[in-house]
Amino acid sequence: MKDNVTNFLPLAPAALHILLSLAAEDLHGYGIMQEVARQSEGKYKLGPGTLYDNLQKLIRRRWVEELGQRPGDDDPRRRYYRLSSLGRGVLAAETGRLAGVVREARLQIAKPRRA
Amino acid sequence: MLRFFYRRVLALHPPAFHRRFAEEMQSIFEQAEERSARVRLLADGLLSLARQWTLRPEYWHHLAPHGAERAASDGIPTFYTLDPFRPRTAAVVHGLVLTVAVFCLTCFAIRYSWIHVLHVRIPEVEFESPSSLASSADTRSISEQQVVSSGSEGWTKNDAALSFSSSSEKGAPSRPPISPAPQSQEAFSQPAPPGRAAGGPAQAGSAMAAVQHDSLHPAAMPEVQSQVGSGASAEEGQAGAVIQPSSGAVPTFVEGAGIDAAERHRVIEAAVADLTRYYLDPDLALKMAAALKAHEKSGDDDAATDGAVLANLLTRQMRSVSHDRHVEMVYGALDVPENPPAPTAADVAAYRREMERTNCTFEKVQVLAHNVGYLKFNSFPDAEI
Repeated sequence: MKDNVTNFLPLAPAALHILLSLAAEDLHGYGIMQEVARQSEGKYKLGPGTLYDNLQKLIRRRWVEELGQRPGDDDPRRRYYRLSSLGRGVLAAETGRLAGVVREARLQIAKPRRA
Repeated sequence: MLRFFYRRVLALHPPAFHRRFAEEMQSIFEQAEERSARVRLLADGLLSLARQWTLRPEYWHHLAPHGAERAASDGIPTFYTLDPFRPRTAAVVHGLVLTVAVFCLTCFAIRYSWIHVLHVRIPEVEFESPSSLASSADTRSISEQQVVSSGSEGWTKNDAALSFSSSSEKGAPSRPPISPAPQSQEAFSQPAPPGRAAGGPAQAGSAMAAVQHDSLHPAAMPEVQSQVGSGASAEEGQAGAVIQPSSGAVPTFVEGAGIDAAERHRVIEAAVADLTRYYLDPDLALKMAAALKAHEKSGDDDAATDGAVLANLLTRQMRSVSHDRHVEMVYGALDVPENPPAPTAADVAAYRREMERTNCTFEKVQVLAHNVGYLKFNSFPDAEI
């Protein structure tokens, strides 16, 4: 299972941000866009085209599940999405990979530069 | 206005994408209040449109609905099919490039390869003796077989047959009988059928070889043999309606011949007469005759003082009008008689023996695969013999 997950790494930035935005709660498309902007402090903004293009790939890979519409929502056209267990594993693997990259980067940056 | 355009852009997306995400995208668009934000969303929609149609062919028609791929409750495993699968655009492009490369490489290999593996050769069929031929004829009816010939040679023979039939339809008189060729002339490997031009094209082929020796007598008739009508060329050694305007009792080998104005005029007149008399299409024959005369009058033929040169020149002049590549004038060194004597009984007997020896030039009779009859014959002998 872990080997299968690592085959998809590294993730594209858009896929990583979408998975990360769905890690805490189920969101609709517009909510994902807002969450991505919040998590990146406005430095990364997803357009609807990029969002749903990635969503259909993530759904196809079963990393994200489509929950459908919620009756009490403000806009009945919205559909909610949930991070699946498989998607969570992929996100964890990617996060670990990035953590290793960051750790290595910090080590390299902290070392004195050879002449 | 922007909303309308955005809606149209969404409608132009692939059906599966539009069915699944268009409403949500429209909802997001309507939540943007600023015009600049809507313009950016419209640009994003256009970009998405291009991306979905060019880079996402696998999602054009199929997107599995939520919960559709569930495990079967009865324990029967679920099988997936590849019906809705569409290859990626990159894969299609790679396949196209690879196909073109292989095609070009194959064409190059066929053209320049020293190993001609693609030269298909029809296996030779053994010659059947007359006795076996007769026995096979008893068991198989030739009329029930489809007679075919192989290659262009076979078609030429068929064309020669058409030439004969056309000539007879036109009412052309039978050729004056000519004695078989003297044995000293090696080119006459096959006796000519009595009642037909001696040696036929085989004689013409010999004559062509003799012309190259430039051995015609100035006073002799130019042995210009115009094959009129759709027939085989002299070099092919096939029977054809060979017209010989020369005079004399017996074909003789003349030396020191040349072509002067009088000879050219006589040759052209004879060719005109033969064309109008024997050619299949009378109107076209008149046109060719008029062309020959016009060229003669304008002095186009004056430079032709050699027999072969004149024959080639007149051939080109006739073909330029008729576009009939079977029309050919052949210059020969043999003086072919205009009215040769009738064949003797010995000549007829010799011809008949030769035809019996060569099985009337029928070389192969066989039934090929799929019940296709294969009949190969090398000439049209005189049926009356």
